[in-house]
Amino acid sequence: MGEIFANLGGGFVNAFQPLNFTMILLGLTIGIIAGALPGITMLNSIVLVLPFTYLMGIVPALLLMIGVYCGGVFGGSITGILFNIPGDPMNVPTTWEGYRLNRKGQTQYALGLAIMSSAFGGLVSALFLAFFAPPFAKFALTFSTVEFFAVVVFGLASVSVLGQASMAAALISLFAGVLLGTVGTEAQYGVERFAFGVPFLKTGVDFVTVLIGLFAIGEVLEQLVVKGAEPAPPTPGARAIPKLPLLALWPLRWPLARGTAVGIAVGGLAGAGATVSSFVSYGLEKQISKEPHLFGTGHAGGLVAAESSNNGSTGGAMAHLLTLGIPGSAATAVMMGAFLIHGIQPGPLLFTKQPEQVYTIFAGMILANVVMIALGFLAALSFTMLMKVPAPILNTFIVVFCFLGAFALRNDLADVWLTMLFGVLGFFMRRWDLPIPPLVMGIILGPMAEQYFLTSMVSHANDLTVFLTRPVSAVVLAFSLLMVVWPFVKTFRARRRHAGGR
Amino acid sequence: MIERHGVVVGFVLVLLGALGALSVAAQEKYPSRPIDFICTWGTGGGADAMARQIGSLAQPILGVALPVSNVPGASGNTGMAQLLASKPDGYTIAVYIQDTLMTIPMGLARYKVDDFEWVTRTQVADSFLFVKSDGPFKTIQELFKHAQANPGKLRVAATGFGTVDDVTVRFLEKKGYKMTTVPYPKPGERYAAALGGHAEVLYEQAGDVLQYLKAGQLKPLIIFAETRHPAFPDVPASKELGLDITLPQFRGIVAKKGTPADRVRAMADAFKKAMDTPQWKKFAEEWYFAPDSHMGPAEFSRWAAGEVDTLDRLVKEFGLRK
Repeated sequence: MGEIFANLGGGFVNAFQPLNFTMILLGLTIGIIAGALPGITMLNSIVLVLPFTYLMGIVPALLLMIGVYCGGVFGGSITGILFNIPGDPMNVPTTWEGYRLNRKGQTQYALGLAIMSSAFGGLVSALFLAFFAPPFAKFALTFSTVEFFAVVVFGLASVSVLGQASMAAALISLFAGVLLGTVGTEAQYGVERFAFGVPFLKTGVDFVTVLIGLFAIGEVLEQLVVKGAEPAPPTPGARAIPKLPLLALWPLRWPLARGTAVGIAVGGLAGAGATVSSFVSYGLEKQISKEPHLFGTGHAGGLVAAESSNNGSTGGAMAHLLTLGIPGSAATAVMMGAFLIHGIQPGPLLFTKQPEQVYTIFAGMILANVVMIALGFLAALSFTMLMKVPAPILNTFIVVFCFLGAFALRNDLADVWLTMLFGVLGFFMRRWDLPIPPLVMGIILGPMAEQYFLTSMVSHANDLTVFLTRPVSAVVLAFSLLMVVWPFVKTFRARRRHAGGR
Repeated sequence: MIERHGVVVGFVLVLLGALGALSVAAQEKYPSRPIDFICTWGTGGGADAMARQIGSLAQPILGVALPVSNVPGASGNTGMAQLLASKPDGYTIAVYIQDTLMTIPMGLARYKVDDFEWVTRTQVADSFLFVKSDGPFKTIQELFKHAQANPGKLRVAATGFGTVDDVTVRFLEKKGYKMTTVPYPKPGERYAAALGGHAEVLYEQAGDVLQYLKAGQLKPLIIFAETRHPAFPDVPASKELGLDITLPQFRGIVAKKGTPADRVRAMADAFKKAMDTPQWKKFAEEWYFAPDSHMGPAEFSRWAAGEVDTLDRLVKEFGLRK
């Protein structure tokens, strides 16, 4: 333990060196802004900075990417809270509560909660990384595709409790998303599904087109058509400054702790990143909460659980990368690329051979999460000012960013058309009271669940019972089932109670 | 200080690249905008490392960036679908490796070998079977004995179905050592499966798992080659065990058929120069590439066609294609 403190101390000295510290600041700024902008995801921006890191040493390169990672995971919550347009998929649950809080006039409170819970989740997970990375990673290796499948199913099940919409509506939306996720060339056997011989469809529907189409374009269309149907959000005046509710977090300490723990655990499992953990955490929170009926109406606990969890996943994913050389999320996979380009293999030898670099990265990550409070505050302030911009102008820019992001996916105009199509779909889903988040989760988690399932089956001679004989998987699947069935049980019991004339 | 200058130069380069993309008169000079580089395998594996390494080394030579995008799946054919859906203008290229080539004779590919311009072969490396160092198997004989006694029980983490990995596993099955191929398209998942004991055996090239070898977590049991590898003198070659299967893993770069010849030439020249740099030489050494790895367009396309014929014969010989 003492050795870790000494190493970490050295790490902090390195991280505070001008170049290194600048990279953290730069990375956070890029991450928060890119994360907040609809159409430009955290993953986009981390891929975009990768070529620049070729020219740096590995430490500044990693610190830049960690900055983008931590900032990006948080950034999307700003636009989610302010405009109901989550910048990234992991901020979808945050949006669900945060935008409602905003409409109730508690914009500053919601933004402050998002900043503080992100920073808290990220900080705790970075500390966890610094102290427990090797044993944790070793433990994570005991999980196989069977467990991953169970966790993804839990994520899918949590969608059914999202928001206030009826279970039927949520399930329709979810399965529409799962169906969309099957379009393209299947990864295991190379079978084409729903491609209709169209080359563009063979590569599948990118979830980013769905995310920005349904949320951003759909929202813009909604505002065009139903102008003034909802009361305009309170114009931020002199009190537009986001509050940093340090004390306000105390009553929310349990959602915060649970969210962070779920984030670290889920983030540390290979293949499951910030998005899965934020949905799992939100779903869990709603089940545990004493006031589940308030979820979807602006519940601070739900927001805090989701937002602490997506940042909490960063440390888990980094632990996986640094100690095993195996990226646990799409973002850390890009960082793996940065290591390889510098001729360094992250993995078991990194700790023993280059402890200085490793602990500088740890220190940098801890630092990034502290600095994020200030930068997140500034970003939230700047974006809040955008609320004063007349809607037609603002919406024009939103659409431009969306199309830019869609085109950048693979330099194909077809993705822009697809985004427009999903925009129209998003508009009608709003009209028909079909919730949008389940569809987005379906298209992200559906293909993951399928792959994990198929691999598990090949691996275990098509023995379905493996999902029940492996304890972790059995427990997680049982919780998933409970999550779907519990609402029915509750209704049933309530009815019986009424019938009993109590 | 040098690093910071490098960053500035990099920014300028990319800005120039972006400006190039905007200019309408992009026809005149090639390349005048970034070249999309599709990596048909996930981030953090050997194909990805190759793509990013050669991409960054070719960038100053070509004067434009070669941004790598990873499109894994279906033994590389998900990314191939994307390449074949693009315009043959020299602004989209892709990684092409042995595992993907194998899908042609297996009837899993929806293209032929002459649907591509074979730009450059960047590497050739032999494959091994690895097991956990603290596992029950110390030699290849022990592994084979277990496979004979428990047919299909041992799981081999491989890149996908119908790949060279899979063919090697099926070849061994024909010889009486039946094991099950478990596809993990993402390299990270493949290594995690082997390290975590979710697959008993890993089919891979040595350079890709070097860190686990050095850390003593994995150990090689057999090399699929004519002779032993100088770096692993104790590991028997398949040939000496009477197993006549040597399918060295190759990786290269392809473009869509119809890309103008001068553009293919320009790319091939740039990649050749990139492969002559000391950085590439160091990279090639670390990853155990064969010294005669490089092949230009003419040679590479002939070789690839020949390789497909060989694989086709193997597939027919062993009745591997369903």
